[in-house]
Amino acid sequence: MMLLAATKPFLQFPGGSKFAIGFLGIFHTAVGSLAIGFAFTVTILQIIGYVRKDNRYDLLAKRVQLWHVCIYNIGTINAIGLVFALSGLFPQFWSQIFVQFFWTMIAEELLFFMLATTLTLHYFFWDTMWGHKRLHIFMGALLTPMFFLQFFIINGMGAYMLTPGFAEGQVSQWSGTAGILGWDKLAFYNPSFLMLTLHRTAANFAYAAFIVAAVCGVWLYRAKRDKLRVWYESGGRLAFKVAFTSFLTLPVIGFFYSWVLKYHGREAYDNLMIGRGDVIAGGIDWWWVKQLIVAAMIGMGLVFCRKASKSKDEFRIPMPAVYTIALLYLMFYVGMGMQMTWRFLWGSLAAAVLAGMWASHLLNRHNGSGRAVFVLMGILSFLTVCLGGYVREASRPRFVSPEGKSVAGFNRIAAYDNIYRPEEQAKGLTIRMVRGKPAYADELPARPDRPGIKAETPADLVSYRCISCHTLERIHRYRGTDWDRVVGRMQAYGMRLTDEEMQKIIAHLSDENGSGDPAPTP
Amino acid sequence: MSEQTDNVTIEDGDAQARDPLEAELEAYPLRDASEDPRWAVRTVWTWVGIAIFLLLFLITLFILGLWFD
Repeated sequence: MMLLAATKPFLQFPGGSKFAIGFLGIFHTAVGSLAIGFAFTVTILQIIGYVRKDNRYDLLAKRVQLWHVCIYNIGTINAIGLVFALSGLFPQFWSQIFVQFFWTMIAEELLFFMLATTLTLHYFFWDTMWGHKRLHIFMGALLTPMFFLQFFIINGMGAYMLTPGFAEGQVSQWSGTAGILGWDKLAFYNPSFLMLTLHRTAANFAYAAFIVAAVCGVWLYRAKRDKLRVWYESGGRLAFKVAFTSFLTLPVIGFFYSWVLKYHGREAYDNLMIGRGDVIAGGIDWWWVKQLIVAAMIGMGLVFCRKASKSKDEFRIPMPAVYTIALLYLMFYVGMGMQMTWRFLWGSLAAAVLAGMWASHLLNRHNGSGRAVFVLMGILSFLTVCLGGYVREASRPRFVSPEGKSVAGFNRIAAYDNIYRPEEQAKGLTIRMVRGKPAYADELPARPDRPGIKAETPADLVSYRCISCHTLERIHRYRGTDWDRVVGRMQAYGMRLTDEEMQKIIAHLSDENGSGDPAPTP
Repeated sequence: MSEQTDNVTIEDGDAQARDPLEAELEAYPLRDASEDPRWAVRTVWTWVGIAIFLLLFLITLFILGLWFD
């Protein structure tokens, strides 16, 4: 309920600011990921239809593209709402991100325009271009790299929040000298950027194709005519196998993604692996839930592929690959040193076996038709996308303690310490999001308690101010001598300094890393 | 059509009215290129050109961004 109290003249979002961002963010993930995957699925269906001269696939592609047009509009409106909410509710956070990634956001806007128009034209010209079918398919295929580039940009920012800059010990061959405001290459191409991008690419393809199969499953339940049933069954099977093929790559990519987090985002890694912080909400470890769902999907998909692979004419996934990935998935967390290895191993194994048995039962019940499995996998896929998006954000280091207290210099992105937080929202956070600390969380080494840090030397000043946004490694690796310009640029990104502090920092950095001749203040 | 698809149980489907979609499923309606409206083909070509140019432009920017900061 929205409240307007005399002492709080700011209308609060229902559920609090954090809930609003979480809801809009997850909504956008669910819809946006679907749009990206739809583009890919449509192209696959169109190509197969063209190669086989089979209109069933092309007609399915056309239907999917119509949903895509609708979904894209919903997703875009949702994205604008998210930007409005972020800029209004968390102005400092948003302004820092927006300034730091200004040019990438402009490129994003350009891509939004191109995607909306290309998508609309592709659907609009569907029945007009039967004499130029390959050109029409090609235009649709252009949507996938455009989408890829678009979420390449979003991933740069999303991954930055998890792994800002390069960790100590990382040796990079990159060096920056040009000083372009609004583009921060080391922040954008941060350690987890590549793995997040790869993981989301395959996940989006899998998610959308599972949803296409699920809709075919629903149609199968409702269809009365034989010909339509055959159409929906074959379309659903193709979409399911495209989805499952993409899905099978995820545990492999996920392994390396976790590996990167282990060394570049240690706190996020611990939060995920041990189940700490906002990863636990309402007493439930949502990352665990996601992984169990994934195990169930592997079991269900494995049984479906084993039964469906008997047919010669169908697109088939090699079963040894399926078995290998399933095994690898179960070994995944043993290799990663997860604290709950055995619980996870047996839990996921049980989920996979039970789901596989259920899939087998459902296939028999419907005389070989995959309708029920399609629908179930669509629902599970939707859940994994929502949960995956949630836990990635929830695993980030919290910049305010559960009591709502800012602890400067404590976390890596301490610039976020000053994020605007309405009083009532900080309380809501404690009650709703973190009900209690799990017992095993105490097994981790205690975090240092360093409230009220004071910079006594110029070196302290550099540490406390610069580490707000990135690691000190980035300073040590900088080869230029124009520290006045660099510090000025950081101020443009939101670093707050007095003139005296600025002079001290420039002088110190010039002595330590540069010319030894401090440049004048800009 | 696959074996699996063939095995799907059919229930009184033929007794129902014919769905207009069924006719569309039967043929893949390719036609001669000259039968497409020229304005449509030109529009699509123009848009594909713009899209390719934009993609290359943005990809170039992101590659250059690896060196310049």
